[in-house]
Amino acid sequence: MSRTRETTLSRRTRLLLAAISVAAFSLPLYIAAVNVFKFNTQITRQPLALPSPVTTQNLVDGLTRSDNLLWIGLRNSTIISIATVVLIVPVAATVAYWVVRRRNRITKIALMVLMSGMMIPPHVVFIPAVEVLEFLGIARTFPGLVLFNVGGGFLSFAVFVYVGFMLTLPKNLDEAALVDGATRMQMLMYVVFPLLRPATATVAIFIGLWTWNDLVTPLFILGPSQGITITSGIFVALGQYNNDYGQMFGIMFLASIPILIYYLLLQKQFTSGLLSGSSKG
Amino acid sequence: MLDVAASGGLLLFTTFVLIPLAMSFYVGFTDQNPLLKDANFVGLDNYRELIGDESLHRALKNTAKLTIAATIGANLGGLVLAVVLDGTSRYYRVLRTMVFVPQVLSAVVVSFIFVTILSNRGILNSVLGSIGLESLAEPWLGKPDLALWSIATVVTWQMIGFTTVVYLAALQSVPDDLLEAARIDGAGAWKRFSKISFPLMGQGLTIAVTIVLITTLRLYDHVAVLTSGGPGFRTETAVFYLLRMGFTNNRIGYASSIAFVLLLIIGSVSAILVSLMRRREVQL
Repeated sequence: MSRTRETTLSRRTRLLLAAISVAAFSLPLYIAAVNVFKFNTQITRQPLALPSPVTTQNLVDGLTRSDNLLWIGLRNSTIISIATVVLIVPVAATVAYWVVRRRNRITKIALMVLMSGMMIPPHVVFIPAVEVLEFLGIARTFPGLVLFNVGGGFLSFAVFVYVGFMLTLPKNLDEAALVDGATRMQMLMYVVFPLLRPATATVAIFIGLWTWNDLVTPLFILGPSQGITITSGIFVALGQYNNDYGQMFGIMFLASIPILIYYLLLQKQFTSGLLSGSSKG
Repeated sequence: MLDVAASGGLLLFTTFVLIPLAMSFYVGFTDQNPLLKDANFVGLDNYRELIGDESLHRALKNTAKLTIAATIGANLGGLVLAVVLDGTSRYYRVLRTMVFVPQVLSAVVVSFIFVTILSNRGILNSVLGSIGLESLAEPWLGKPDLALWSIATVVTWQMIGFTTVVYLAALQSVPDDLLEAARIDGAGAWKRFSKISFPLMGQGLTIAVTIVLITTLRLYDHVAVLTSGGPGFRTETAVFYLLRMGFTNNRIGYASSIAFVLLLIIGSVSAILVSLMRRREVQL
């Protein structure tokens, strides 16, 4: 009897400890959230207080900026993120399938080179990559940025995830289809690819998120004058309107809402994706 | 047919990684500059210059300090939070959801939040003032040494979201019967953690340490928002200096030699770390 009470008590203490730790850790997020709904005067005088009066002025200011920063940024980031994901999924799955099923000296070397790509900061290739894009006639364009994202930034990670996942698939599964006369490509498309769904979810979720949040690549590959993404747009605006904290909080909030919804909806896949990375790491 | 399809991906990688790397190796031996008409071959001049370049050395030192601080900080913090949040009720699930939020926000948003906290007339100093601790107020982003630690703190804070999730997963993969057997044998909570759980968390440790390290070695965004590399370029990181030389100062030739040196340093540091971490993993 006394033992049960003791464990309930310590269970409560533990939960309280956990709640206090997370509250302390989340304090910056609290600051960001409450200041969205305050006037600038209250932000400077009572930064930690709850909003009083509550205002949506910062959100309205953010949405009605004359440069349309939010709307243009949201549109461009959506296009670029979706295009990057839609392109990298089939490309990476094909490369991974080729590596796993062909298994010869060439695929081994290719995999090694691709994996070392994860250690390379994309920053070191920005300068020559701009020249390559100029040569191809797509410098400072969305297609140029998307192709750079796929080939230069994220392919190594995507192939890594797919190869790790494919190694866990039973081999006889698609061998059976081969006997039935399917080509390797048909098998990849109709048999293997549907089985890769968890890996595809990981690739899509993380590369979508990284592309959305990316600052340097749009800043240097696209150039701020050629079109802003939501992240590079905020960055540029920060330099210009640093004093209007209220409006900046409003813009940050609006720009983060899609990401937060995305995270809350796909939370399970987020964590299982991290896990699949760690178990095969 | 499969080979042809796969070569598409390899071609993209070649076009945007391998060819650019080869180009920057070559351009590193020239004085290429978009403001000059033609680039001249200058031999090892760029490499000689970078050996004596104090700004580059400082940027590398800053990167090393930030990487070490954030790797230790984010992994310790993540480990502690994971242990604290390792509960089964739904309250814990809500708390875990909150801890991961900084990780999904962009570095720009996170850094801006911290600008409002850490700037001279920011929230931290005004709170210190209002509770009579004015003497502790500091220009957290204005003094070079202090600013570097402020950047490290912000990066650590954001990365803790990630490390906590990884460590939680690792903790939960430790078999319960092992822990239960140890408990019956009289092992206390700390002993069970240090002798059983922690040694079995090897893979989680590898992934968490590696990702934090790779992320901080290429740190740019946080620095750009928090300090713009200042005051006086004193908080620049290696890639920040590289991009300033290449894109702001137009010294493409010199920047290319720096890019190549960074590639070697960052690549080998990451590769050595990964192989070290793998070796110490304990398998069940």
